[in-house]
Amino acid sequence: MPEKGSTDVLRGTLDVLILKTLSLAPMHGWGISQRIQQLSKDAFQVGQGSLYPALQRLEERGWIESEWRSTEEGRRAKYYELTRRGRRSLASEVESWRRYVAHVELVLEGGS
Amino acid sequence: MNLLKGRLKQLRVLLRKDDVERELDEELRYHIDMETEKNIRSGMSPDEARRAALLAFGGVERYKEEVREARWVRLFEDAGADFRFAARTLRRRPAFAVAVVLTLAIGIGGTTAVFSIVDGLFMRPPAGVDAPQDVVRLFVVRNEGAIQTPDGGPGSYVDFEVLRNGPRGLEAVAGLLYAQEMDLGRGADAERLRGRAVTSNYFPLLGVRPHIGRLFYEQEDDVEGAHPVAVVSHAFWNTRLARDPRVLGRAIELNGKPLQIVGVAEKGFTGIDSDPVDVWVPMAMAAPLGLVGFTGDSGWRQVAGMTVVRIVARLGAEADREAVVRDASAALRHAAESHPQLDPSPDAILAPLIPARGPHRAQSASLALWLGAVAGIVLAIAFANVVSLLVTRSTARRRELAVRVSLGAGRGRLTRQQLVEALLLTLIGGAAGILIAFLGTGVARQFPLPPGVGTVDLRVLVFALGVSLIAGLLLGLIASARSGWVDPMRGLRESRIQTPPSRRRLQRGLVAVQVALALTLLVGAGLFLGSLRKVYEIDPGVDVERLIAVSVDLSKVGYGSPEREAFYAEARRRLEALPGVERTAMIHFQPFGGSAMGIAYEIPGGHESTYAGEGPYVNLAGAGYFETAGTRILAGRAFREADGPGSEPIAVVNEAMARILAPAGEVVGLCVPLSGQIQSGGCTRIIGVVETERHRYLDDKPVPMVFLSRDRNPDAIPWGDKVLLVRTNHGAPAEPSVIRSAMQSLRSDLPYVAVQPVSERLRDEILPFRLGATLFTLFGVLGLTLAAVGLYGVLSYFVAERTPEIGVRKSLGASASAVVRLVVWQGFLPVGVGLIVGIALALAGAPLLSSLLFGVDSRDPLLFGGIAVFLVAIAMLSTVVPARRAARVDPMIALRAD
Repeated sequence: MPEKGSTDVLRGTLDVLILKTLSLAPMHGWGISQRIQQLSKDAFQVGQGSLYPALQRLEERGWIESEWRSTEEGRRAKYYELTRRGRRSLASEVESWRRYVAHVELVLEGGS
Repeated sequence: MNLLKGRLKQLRVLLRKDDVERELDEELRYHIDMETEKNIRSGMSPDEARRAALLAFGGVERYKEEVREARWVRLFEDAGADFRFAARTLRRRPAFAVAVVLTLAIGIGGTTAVFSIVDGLFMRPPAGVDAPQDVVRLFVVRNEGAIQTPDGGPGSYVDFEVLRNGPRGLEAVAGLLYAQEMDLGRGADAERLRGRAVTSNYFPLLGVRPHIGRLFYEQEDDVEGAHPVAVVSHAFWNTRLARDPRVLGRAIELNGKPLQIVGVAEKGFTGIDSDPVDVWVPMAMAAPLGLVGFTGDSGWRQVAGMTVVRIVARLGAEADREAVVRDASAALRHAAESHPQLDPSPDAILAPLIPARGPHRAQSASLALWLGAVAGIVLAIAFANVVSLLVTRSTARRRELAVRVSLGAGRGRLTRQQLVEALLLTLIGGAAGILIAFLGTGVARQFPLPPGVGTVDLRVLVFALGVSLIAGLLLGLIASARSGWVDPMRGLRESRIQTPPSRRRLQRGLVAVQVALALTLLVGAGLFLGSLRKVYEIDPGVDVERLIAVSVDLSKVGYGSPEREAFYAEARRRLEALPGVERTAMIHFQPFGGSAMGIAYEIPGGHESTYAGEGPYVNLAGAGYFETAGTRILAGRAFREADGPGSEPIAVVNEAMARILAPAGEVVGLCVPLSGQIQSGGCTRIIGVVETERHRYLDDKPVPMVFLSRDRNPDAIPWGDKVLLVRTNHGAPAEPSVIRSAMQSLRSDLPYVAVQPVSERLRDEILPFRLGATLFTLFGVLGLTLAAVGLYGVLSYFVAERTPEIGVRKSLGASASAVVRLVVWQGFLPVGVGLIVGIALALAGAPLLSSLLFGVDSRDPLLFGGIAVFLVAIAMLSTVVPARRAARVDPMIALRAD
């Protein structure tokens, strides 16, 4: 159950979170969702239902690639990996995200 | 690299759908397994852990759907399933499907049929021409002087040589003469061919190669009559010469001269005009074959006023068309200095090779363009009907859609299904439309059209398919936009589907548009029918029924004047002896033959006439001509057999001429000095007055005419045909073939004997009016029917939908007539708006038609009013059934139904 104070990941930001997660290491879907939750200190609950369409979308765009590999416990899982294009996009996505946050911040500061 | 990989993967999705689905299953299963394990680790029981994992995930199927939809290939993947689904849906509502398909078939079929004609006339360059876009026609514009061609006309051979050597940017310039009929052979087998005299570079300029043999050599242009050679078309070689390669070198007799066949032109090439050519001869053979008018003069190529040469040119690779026109005009002006009788500053204009796109568009080609617009309007009306039907239906289907949305169907998927359904409808409609187009072009080919025009071929089929696809996409988008916002909760809760007001507005708007368009179509039909009636009302002053014109060129058998006259006298005796022939007479220019010759005269003691293009004209009539032609004699007498060579000069004038010669008094008995080429010195005695006939064309102005006695001097006019007119019997008229063989029996080596009912000439003139009236009426009726059906459908739907409301009104005491008024008002509001818009449209558009009309006012208030009243009557009829249904609503049943 999502804890109090946790938020659903906004659809647009999910992409950048996935890219960021994959920039550390190739990972399978479940791993990505756990990792995001963990990195955000449980603040973000990745709706699993939006995770897989997002992965599909990113793969369409050529930002990530997938491959079936064996996991540590010996099962087959689909691992996703950042492509070179994905890495470039991550940089610009992060950049624009920062700008967005800064602008929101400005508005909030000005309003109080 | 990545991009390629992505595409490959999408391809794989398409090809191996099951594998991909399996992978997706496996990936999600892994996710849920991992989540379950995590839950177990945090202390849940295995069952509980799995349930929690599934719950956290939501409906697995729904997410699979979303993942699938993230792929565009889905569109193709599902197309098959969607089509099957759409077909099933439509089968459940056959009446709806049939209505839509029929409506679309009418719209698409009409448009396709007209497209096949417009495409043939306007889009297709003559077959067999290389790079036709670089070939242009050059016309000469002369605004003053003896020759006036303000819209651009042919040049003289002198002009041709100027243009051939003048402007830069022209790779080659060739000349050809106008369409000429040439007589092939003698006796019973004699035929009439379509021929052209062309310069030797004509074929190379167009990129036409010989099929066998050769084309013309350059030196064959030079000396008049020195090279009697001919090239025949492949079609002629194929059908009349039995594809015999030995015809090369063989002589054929054309217009009485032996010519040697030197080649067969490339297959498919039939010249650059709309009528296919059978035989080409070098320009230097034109005069010897008698193709350049009456001079027969081999010096015609030096005469600047002999403007009979049409000029075609091939533009060089980087030619600037404007510069070419400038250069050509400058060259023509420079040369004009030595021709003082002509316009001193002529201009050249360039026109496309396709005749209908040039400055001299045939009336039927203009008509075809209008028909394109008209067919488009009918298509628009049909489309509006279908939109209306579909919108009505999507309202009725909202519940079904709501159920499907709440069961988890993706919104994109619903849109796609509606799109597919619309496409299926329009494609079936298009296929049915192609059948209608086949029928329509069959009708169109009853009228004379150039070869290849109005046939349903691949291009036309592609057009029909394109129209169907575009219509389908539009329909699908409109339908899905109209139902896209279905809210499952509301859709399910509503017990009765209410039409949102926006939708009612749309439907009323569509009715208004249909009424407006139908009105414009009917006004067009009315104008053409009016013109046709006016044309038929013309009293031509000649009774054309049972009147047959017989002509044969006796100069080709070497007859001089006395032998020729003896021959005609014998021919008249022979023909008059035939059963079925009433009488015969000779005439120089035949009625409706299109030619006449001007004459100058002096009114005794008055002014001299001028050639103003409005007569007076002169003709030579033999004894019994007016009686044979059926022209009434108003005063004095007609010519008799006794008016022979020795008698004094006599003339019969028509009423229009009589009014000029003697505005108030008696014209018979006057002696009028006539001048010009006809007579010099003395005067001509007027012996009779006849009614004013339309001589050259049917819609010719009634012009003053002077008839001289042909029996007195048959050679008074040195050029033109000499025609034997035959009036056949009322009961059992002699057939043209009987008349021809009677003529041929006079002499076995006669050239081709032309036997043509005079009414055929008139038929050709009436044709554009008939064509316009027929097709405008046809499309008008189609448009009107569709619009009436549309109005009926919308009103029926309103009544069905408002039955409970009507029930309430009735139970509250509304009378049946009040209910009827309500329904009728529903229908009349959009009809009224449509009428006003339609009248405005038609008032603006009709004057553009006037060049195709005859004798009618394009803004005839009576016509406009009549059609408006007619449309109101039709609208009233369309409201009768729905209104009566509304009046019969039983309040108890209507209220209980909910």
